[in-house]
This record gives sequence, C-alpha cells and structure tokens, in this order.
Amino acid sequence: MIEARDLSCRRTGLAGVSLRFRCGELVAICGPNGAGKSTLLSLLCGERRPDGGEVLLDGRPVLALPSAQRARRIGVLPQASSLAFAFRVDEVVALGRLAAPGPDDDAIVRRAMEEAGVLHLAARTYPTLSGGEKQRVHLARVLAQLADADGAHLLLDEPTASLDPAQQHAVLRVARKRARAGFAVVAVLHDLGLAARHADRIVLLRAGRVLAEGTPWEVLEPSLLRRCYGIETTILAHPSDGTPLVVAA
Amino acid sequence: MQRAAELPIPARRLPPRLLVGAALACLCVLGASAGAMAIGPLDVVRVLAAQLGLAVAEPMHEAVVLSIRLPRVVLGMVHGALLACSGALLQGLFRNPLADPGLLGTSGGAMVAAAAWTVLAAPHLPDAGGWALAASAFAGALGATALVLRIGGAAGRAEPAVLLLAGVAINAFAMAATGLLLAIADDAQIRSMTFWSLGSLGGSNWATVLALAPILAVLAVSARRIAPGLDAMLLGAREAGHLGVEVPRLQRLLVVVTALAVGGSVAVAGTIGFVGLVVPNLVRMVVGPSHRHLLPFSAAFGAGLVVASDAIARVVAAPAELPIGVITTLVGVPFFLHLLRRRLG
Repeated sequence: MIEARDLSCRRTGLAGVSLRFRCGELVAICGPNGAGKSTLLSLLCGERRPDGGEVLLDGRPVLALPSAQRARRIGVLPQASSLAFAFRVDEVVALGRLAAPGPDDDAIVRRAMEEAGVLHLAARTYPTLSGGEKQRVHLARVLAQLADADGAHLLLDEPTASLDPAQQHAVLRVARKRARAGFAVVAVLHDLGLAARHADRIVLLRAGRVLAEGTPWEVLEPSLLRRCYGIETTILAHPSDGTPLVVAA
Repeated sequence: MQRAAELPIPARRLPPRLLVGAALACLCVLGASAGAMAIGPLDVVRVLAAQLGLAVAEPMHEAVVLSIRLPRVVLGMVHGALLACSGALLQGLFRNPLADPGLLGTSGGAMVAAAAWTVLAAPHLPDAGGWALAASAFAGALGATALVLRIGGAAGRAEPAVLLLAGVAINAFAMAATGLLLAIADDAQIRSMTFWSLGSLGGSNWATVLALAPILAVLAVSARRIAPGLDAMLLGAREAGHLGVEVPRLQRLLVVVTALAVGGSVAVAGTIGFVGLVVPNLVRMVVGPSHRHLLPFSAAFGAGLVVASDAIARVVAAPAELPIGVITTLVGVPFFLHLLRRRLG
C-alpha cells in the first residue's frame, strides 16, 4: 500500500493531500490541467521530495528506501518516453530488470511482452514502432520491473495521452488485470470515460486539493464535475456494464 | 537511427571479440612497420618473437621497433580507445548520438587549460613536469563537461539543441582563450600548442604510454558497472531514476571518467578530432546501442582507427608527417554530415 499523508508541494500548489492506494485496486486520479496530478504521482514514487507531509510505502517512508529497492516495488509508466537509440524491443523491456537482475530475466521479459501484447514486436527496433506500440513496450518494461514483487505498485502518468481509443483501452485493461492480481494501480487520466470504465475508485483533484474521492458513481456527479471542471454534464449508465457515462450537457 | 539489420533474438550474433582482437594485432604490426626506415611486417613480428626468445632479429630493427614505433602504436591504441569510449559515454550521458568530446567543449576545456599551464605557469615552475600539464588538462575537461551538463542536460529533459549550443559556446570560448594565450606565447610554446590543436603521437615513448594506460584501466573496470545504468539513461534521467539508477551519482561518475580520459589523452597527444563521434556511431550500427557491447567494441575500433590514421599520416607525405587530427577529421566530417542529414530527413 502507498499512503500519502498531508502532502504539500509549494511550487505546484499541492496542499494537504492525504490518500491511500491499496493493493488490488485501480485508482484513477482526475482533474483539470494544473490540478497537481502529475506532481502527486512524482511524489508517490519518490522522484520528488514534498515540502510537507510524507509518502509511506507499506508504512515506511518511501524516500528512506535505496533507489534500487524502491524500483522493485514501484514502477512508473510515463506519458511518453523519447528514445532515439535503436534498441530492440526486447532490450527495452529487459531494462526493467536493471534493479534486480537474475537468471530468470529472459522468461520474465518474455512474459511481460506477452502480457502487454508486444511479443510479436520483440525483434523490431524501437524507433520503428508506432506511438501506441511504443507505449505498450514501456508498459511491458514496467511489468518486467515489478515481476518479482509481492504487492507492487504501478503508477501510470497519463499513459494514454497520445493513443487511439483501442490502444487506450488495451493499456488500461492490462493495468486492471494487474490490479486484480494484487497490484496497487494508480493512473492519472484525463479521459473521464476511461476512468469510469476501468477504475475502482476515482480521486478528483482541483487546485492542488482533493475535491472528491470514491467509486465512479459517487464521484462522477454533475455538481462535483461543475465545481471541478466548470462544465455541465449529464451522467448515464453504460448500457453494457452499468458504469457511469459522462456526457456533456 | 537504424541498425544495419534486425536480428532475430536467439541468433543474435556479435562480431566475435577474438576476431576484433586479431584484427587489432595485425594493425599493430602494420602500424609498427610503417615509417621512414623500411621494416617489413614480418620483421616486426620477428622483433616481437625475439623478445620471447623465439627468433633472432636485426639489432637495428629491434632498436627502432621497440623504442620508437611500438610505444607510438601502443600510445595510439590507448589514445584511440580513450577517445572513442569518452565519445560513447558522453553520447549516453547526454542521450544524444551527436555528442563528442570535441563538440561539447571537453577537449577545448582540456586544451585551454593545458595551454594556460604551458604559457602562464610552466615558465615559473620548471620542475613541475608532465604530470602538472596532464592535471591541468584534466581540470579543464572536468570544468567544461560539468558546465555543459549543468546548462544543457542535468534535468534530462533539456533540448538536445540547448546542450549542443552550450557545448559550441564553451568550445568557442576555449578557442578564443587559446588564441589569447597564443598571442603572448613564445616560439617554443606556440609550437607545442599547435601540436595540441591538431594532435600528434610524435611525442610518444614508454613513459607517456605508462602515464595514459592506467586511465584506460580505470575506464575498463568502471565500464561494467556504468553500462546498465547508461542504457537506462537513454530512456531519460527520470525513467532511469524510476528503474532504480542513482542518476546524480552516475552523472558525476561519467563526468569525472570522461574528463580523466579526455584530459589525459589531450595532455599526451593533443586533440584528435572526431574519433569520439564517429567510432561509437559506427559501432552502434553493428552491435546495437547497449553499452555492454558498445563500450568494448568502441574502444577496439577507436584504437584501430587511430593507429591506422597515424600510419597513414606518417607514410602519405614522407618524410614529412601530417598531424593525425587532419586525417581523422577529414574522414570524420563527411561522416558527421551524413549522420546529421539522416537525422533531419
């Protein structure tokens, strides 16, 4: 479990954020641009030091962990990674094993590629891939990184920003499966529709503070969305699975 | 950038290290046989065998090969290996295949510091010797690289253009400062400064080889530890951090190691242009960008290139001797332009 306790970060205006992310659930962090979503994520993974409060990883301060140990427990999938060098896809995925190399790495890398749906690309060079393929390769890299951790934490920072709808759902389906298998998954998402379909809980951030937190039906509610984004919405039930469907009014 | 071929995973074949080693040994022999006095490759082999008591060599050949040509060839190999490796390391550090000790101001910094020592300090400290010169070249290289890293690349998010511009600016500054020093230098100092600016292995002897070889040893030992982290750094400094790399520590280590390599080689043989740029890029096209392979093969190829260029420099205009930097730069610039064009188009 990752726990944020009264986090604040002056430069980006994050203030008094307390949240818990438990293993087994996928939590979406939503909110307008500049609400502090990405800042929160970089604080959670220990990349940035908060000005106040602390982040606990299973009860221990995340910043007290050596970076290799932290990397075995927390994986981060960034919005987009630029990589100009002609690594093969399997080499990129194998970079995930850097913190904990071992004899099973080849099998782990293969499984991760399979899970992310990029096994058929294994021998291609990275710069020749499409945007969606690249993002799934990085997803495989992060899965390989967390392969031998019990109760690992997968943080996704707007992982679908540059992907087409099919790719967006593909990435989030993999993330949700991981959550069912015991990971704590935290995803910064811009698309409320994606959040509604895939998240167990949604955290709504606004101006650096938690505006609302709860199940999709609790949070995706016209008055909250008006306060958060300043837009008028109507909420319908999805005809196939009953998840909320946000429609601009 | 593309690789020559996309190899299937299991049948991934690297050029066998043995083959590369053998080719390097042949180049060594050829390099030692090139020069004003005619000594055939077989005679060189005979001289080497004689040292092991396996053959008898002509005393004249023995004297020339052992005390003049061999130290020059070995120095060329160490020098080339160091330059090519620093190029590979800097390209990884800055995530940019166009990085090069010459372009980023590392060599410029080393040169201006070495020139400053020669012109300003050496006349007052006649007993300081070659070590002081090497130390000042190291300090200059360290300062220049650290400055470029601070301005252009520390966050890992900076634009490559910013980085190269910072390097170009520092290089220009170093050149201007060297020009200033040139204006107040005496004749002998001017001669030794021209030697640095174009590079020459002319001053080689076993002492300079012994001075430079430990740096290569340091590089060889640290390469194994540096390589995985550098691979991750190619994804970006943030991503490397997420993967468990201690990024600031790795960056500091890289800056110090490259400064050591560039400073040391500039102090003993001047700047030999474009080896650091061309060699790692060529090697990357064959073995891929993974530093575990890139570093050793770059070292081998850099060593070969400098020894071959030096042999050409000695033979082509004999009995005169071209500066070796002229040869490597004449080969390197067209390659560099080709690389640029491919990146743009």
